[in-house]
Amino acid sequence: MPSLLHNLLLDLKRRGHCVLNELAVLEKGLPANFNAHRAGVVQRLTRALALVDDLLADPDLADPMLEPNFFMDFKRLSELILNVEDSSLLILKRCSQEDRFLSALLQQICCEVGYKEPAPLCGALSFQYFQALMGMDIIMTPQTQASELLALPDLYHELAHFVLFRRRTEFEVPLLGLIHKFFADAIRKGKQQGLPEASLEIIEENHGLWTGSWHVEFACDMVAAYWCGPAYGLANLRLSATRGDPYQDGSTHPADDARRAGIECILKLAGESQASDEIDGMWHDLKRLSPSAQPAGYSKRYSMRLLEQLAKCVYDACVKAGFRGLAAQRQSENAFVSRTVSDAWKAFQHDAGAFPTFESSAIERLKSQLVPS
Amino acid sequence: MSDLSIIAHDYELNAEFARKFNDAVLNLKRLYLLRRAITPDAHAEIEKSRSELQHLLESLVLALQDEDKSWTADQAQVPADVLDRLHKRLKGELSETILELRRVTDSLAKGAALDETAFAALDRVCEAADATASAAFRRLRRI
Repeated sequence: MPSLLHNLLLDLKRRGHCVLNELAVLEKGLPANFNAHRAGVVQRLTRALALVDDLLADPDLADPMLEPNFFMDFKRLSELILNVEDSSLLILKRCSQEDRFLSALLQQICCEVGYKEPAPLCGALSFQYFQALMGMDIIMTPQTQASELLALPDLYHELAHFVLFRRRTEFEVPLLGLIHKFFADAIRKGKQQGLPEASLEIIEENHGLWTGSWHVEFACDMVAAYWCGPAYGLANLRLSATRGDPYQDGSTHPADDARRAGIECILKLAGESQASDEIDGMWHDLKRLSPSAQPAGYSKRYSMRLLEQLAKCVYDACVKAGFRGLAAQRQSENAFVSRTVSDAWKAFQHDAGAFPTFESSAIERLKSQLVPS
Repeated sequence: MSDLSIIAHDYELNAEFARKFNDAVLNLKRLYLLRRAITPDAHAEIEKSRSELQHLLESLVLALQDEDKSWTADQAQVPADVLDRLHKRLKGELSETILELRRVTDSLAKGAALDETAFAALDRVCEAADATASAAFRRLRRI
């Protein structure tokens, strides 16, 4: 009698072929960038199904010493097929006007900022704001993103997630080195000063948060600010106003106010001190409106010295990677998306009431440049 | 921007580590536990698995051992979530496990065969890495 794992693999093979068949039907009628994504997914899925066949044919599949390891292989393959079905297949099947426009827009952003890998595909299908799915080469955006400009800087942040993940040794690893050193020093000094155990535990907790996920969010903000300039700081302020408490943090995201500080560090390094100060002024206003107060220990949890070190490290990595900052993009006539984003924020600040008219005509212009009918 | 981007980042790192570690262990189990004969083609594959596993174990041992030692970039090979899970799972057995993993690393470096005790320690890492990848996947897909 075949083993449970054998049957699970047969089921996986059936599911994989089902997704593959659906992808094959989609070939006709897709624009080039969607078709390139489709071809890449077909290739990955075909490789995965060949591995499933190898496992099914393996004479040791049911050996008790190896079976748990084969089951782990099954899980990774099964996760891949579910990921393809829930992201790539979903976007490719829909391929709406909005998805086409946003994907073309992201492709143009990649050219403008010097992101040299193929641009991820974009789908306006998210029910959780922006999401970067690095393994699938996909960014999901809010459903109305194709008709709005002020949140567009957040697309740069999502693209930065791909940079952090794919260029990990240049971007993420040096940051981890700085953070580990910073907290190791803090613990050493704390011990020398005879801090109570509870205080040392707080330092350790902060250490864990920074090295867990916070460094990735800070770095993505910083890369986005490097690419997008003050518009990113403004978009962050706008999003923070919706999120509410600027001092609230969680395991995946640092406090919005700390993210503001990180963004401002990059703007200053990029020579945008005046814009940075103006954004800071708006933040004072936002904090005035917010009932929340800075919690105890906040300034220790978010050391400015550490943020400055990270910003310098990210800035240098961006330069080394050949990414173009906003100043360089301004000099290029072809950088029309970054110009539109900057102009949109200027127009909004100048006259928020008249902004919708500016926005709709700017979007029409972008559409005619990127997805001419 | 949403939690999902961070979870996707974690999932990819955890799944990649789990896959690499498990594949290498699986290949070596065939040779040393099941005593499968090595064809000339499979020889290169075994050497690759030994070298990959040795490299991953060196990083893992560095990351697991005394936390007062300064962090090196090598430790970034091991996702933080996997380390957390190993710390929680091993608790009282951490120092013995580190010793055992060091012994496996030495055997791999010397080209020596691995025994059942070595694979028991390696399986503990495989299980922790697999559980971490699965947990990240469940968070990502909300299933």
